[in-house]
Amino acid sequence: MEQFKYDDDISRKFMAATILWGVVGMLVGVIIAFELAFPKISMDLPWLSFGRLRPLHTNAAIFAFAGNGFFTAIYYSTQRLCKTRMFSDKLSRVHFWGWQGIIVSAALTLPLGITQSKEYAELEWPIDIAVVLIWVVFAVNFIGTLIKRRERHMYVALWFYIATIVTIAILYIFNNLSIPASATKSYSIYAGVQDALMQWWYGHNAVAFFLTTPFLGMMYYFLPKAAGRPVYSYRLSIIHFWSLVFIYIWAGPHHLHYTALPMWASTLGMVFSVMLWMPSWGGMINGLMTLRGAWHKVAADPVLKFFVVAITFYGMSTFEGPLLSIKTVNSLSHYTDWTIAHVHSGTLGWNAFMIFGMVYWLTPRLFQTGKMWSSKLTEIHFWAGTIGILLYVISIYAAGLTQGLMWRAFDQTGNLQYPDFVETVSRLMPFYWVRAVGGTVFLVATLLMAFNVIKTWMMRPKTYEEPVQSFPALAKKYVDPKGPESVLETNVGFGRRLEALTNVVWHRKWERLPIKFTVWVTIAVLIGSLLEIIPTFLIKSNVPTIASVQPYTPLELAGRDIYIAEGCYNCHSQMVRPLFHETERYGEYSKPGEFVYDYPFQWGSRRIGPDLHRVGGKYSHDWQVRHMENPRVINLKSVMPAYPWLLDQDLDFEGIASRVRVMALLGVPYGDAVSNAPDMAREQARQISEELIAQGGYTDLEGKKIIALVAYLQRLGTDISKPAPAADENGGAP
Amino acid sequence: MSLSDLIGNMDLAAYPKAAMVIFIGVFLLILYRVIFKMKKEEARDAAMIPMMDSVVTPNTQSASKETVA
Ligand code: HEC
Repeated sequence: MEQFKYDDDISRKFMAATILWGVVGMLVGVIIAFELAFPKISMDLPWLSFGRLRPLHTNAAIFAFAGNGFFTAIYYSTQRLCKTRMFSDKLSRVHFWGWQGIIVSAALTLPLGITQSKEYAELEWPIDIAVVLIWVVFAVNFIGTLIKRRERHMYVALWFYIATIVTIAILYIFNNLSIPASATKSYSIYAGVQDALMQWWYGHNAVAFFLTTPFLGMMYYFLPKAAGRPVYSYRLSIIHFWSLVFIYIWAGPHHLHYTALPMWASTLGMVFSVMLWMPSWGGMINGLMTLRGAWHKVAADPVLKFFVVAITFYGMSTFEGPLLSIKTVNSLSHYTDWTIAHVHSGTLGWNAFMIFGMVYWLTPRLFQTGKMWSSKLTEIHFWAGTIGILLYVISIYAAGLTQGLMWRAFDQTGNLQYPDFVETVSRLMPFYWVRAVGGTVFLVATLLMAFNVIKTWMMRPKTYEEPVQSFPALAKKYVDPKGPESVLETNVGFGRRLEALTNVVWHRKWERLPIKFTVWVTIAVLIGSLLEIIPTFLIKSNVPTIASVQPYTPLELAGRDIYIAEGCYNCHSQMVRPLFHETERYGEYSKPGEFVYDYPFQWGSRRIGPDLHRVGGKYSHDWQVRHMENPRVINLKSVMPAYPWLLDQDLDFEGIASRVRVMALLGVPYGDAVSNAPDMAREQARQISEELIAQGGYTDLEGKKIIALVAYLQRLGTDISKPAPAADENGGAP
Repeated sequence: MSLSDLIGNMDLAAYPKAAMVIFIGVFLLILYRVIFKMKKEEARDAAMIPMMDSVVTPNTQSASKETVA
């Protein structure tokens, strides 16, 4: 017998962080929900504007709330499933404080407009490096714990944790590869179509391996604990695990239907997404069936109530996901609020409710109080939370459908029925109000939980008891329990091997060999990724070049960086799909070859405002400036934030030099511009400012940021209609 | 002939097809193991792991709060 104690202090820490960041993330969500309903409440403050706060909301919800949530679960359950303390208490603390430091730096940089603009991968390179380092610390600590475990079989929850750790590391590193231009600015090494593919390979699998697999591990541990009975079918859980890992990794391109992504890649994404129905529902059934014969407990126990609703939402959103990946459905749903509703049924319904259930189960145990301070409050949280989700989700589904149908509506004369985009925006207002209310209810309910947990914490004993556990160590040498008797008469080497293969001894072996298991998961993930990614990068015909498409001028590049920093991509797409109503509304559809200099791509994923890919030349400079200064001067019903500061702040002309240099390094043919970017930018700014004055516009904007932004907007999507440059101009900036 | 020419000239549909074959093959093997080669007791024992994660040494402390009834 060996004796040891579990480290519950680390679980307490992560749980406190989960609740704190949950409240913060939801609060920012509620703020931006109100901003869409009442744009004026941002008070024209840069750091409160929608484009900067939305990434803060998504990052806080995913990495701070859900992340700390499943870390709590992992630290608590891994020790118990392995019957050992964590490998290193020090590493546990480094992981905890490091992760919180990363969250704080995200909370500081994103509102300042320091961003890479890749959704859920917005953090700039110094923070990315910190994320990778802390993740390695976590991985070492986790694998170390597996190695020193006292339980031979690795329980299925641990498999899900392994898949999380390995895959997130691969995804995060490859999607974030970039070259720094300064301490706070870098450029993705991928451009256009390839960047889009990488980003959604990452984006979709972040959902899979950050918001799904660790939470399934949580389900497989905490649900049986709370229900007091083992999981319904352990066999089903094994099938659930492998099919999920194999299939999920392929599904990413369904985010890019009807875009400039090659057809075969998006079809592949669709087929694998539809196949995901299988494992997802297998998992849901396994979860719900665990409660067979225990449904009377559900009525009495709020923890189980949270879990049941969470698993139901898991089933619903993983039913909806494949549905949305079918191309025809996607042509209606993409860029609309439908996606937002889908995501929130997943995050609020599945992730948040799993976390809440876990918190209510853990709190009395971690604080050793035996019960929550108020079970009534827990009950209220459950009902208020559920109502909050329903208000949110139902209203935003309605908004998404309305939006999608209005965009594609034609009248009797064959013209767009709602040619003015803002009509489709103002129609959504009632839904936006209901959403804001629903979000607020959910936030208040979460605050009730925070209050309840604090009150329970105050009831804790003076010193925590730390029971000493005794379990025997694993025998050094493992003897397999006798496998099936051999049916072979003679002992041929090959025959023996074949027999071992068909008896699937190998899988039983992996189940107790953490390193081997991890390697196989990695291979499963890599096969899916590489077969999808390599062709996109290596097949030239996927991205036909267009001779007239030239690099951005230094000033336009600076303008593009402002577009990125202000988070315009959170409301605007730059991707006209080859659908009739889109070409009618926006013009010529977008071609892959038009994005070859877009480091990173700016296709966006939703249209709170209209697509901007063909906006170049659509309006005068003067219109653009006045619209940016205050959109409601031009369009009373616009919900776009005002950007008065862009008319005030000076553009850093000298700083453009290092950016152009990095672009050149990435292979953009900048020619002379590399050595005199600032002067070229000044010259173009002077021209634009003169044209602006000629249009009767402002007279004092020559050195301001707005000029760069206007230069960029006026360039957008115009190259395709220009003649190809003469041969000798090739290689130089236009 | 460069690598991209080589891959570019290959039939693109081969990638998803190869992937499907790999996936289905491995998946069938796992199904086979789980359905035919996993003993009832083995599955039951594994499923019980979370239920038996605390054995407190009698004379050191009072009973752990987390042993589930
Ligand atoms: C909260 C969402 C939101 C954000 C963030 C946002 N916009 Fe808009 N934008 C809109 C809406 C809604 C419209 C349509 C109504 C209007 O013209 O104001 C619009 C319209 C536009 C138009 C006119 C397009 C046309 O074809 O008529 C331009 C140009 C534009 N936005 C540029 C930007 C830029 C540049 C940024 C970032 C600095 C930005 N927007 C940020 C919502 C947004």
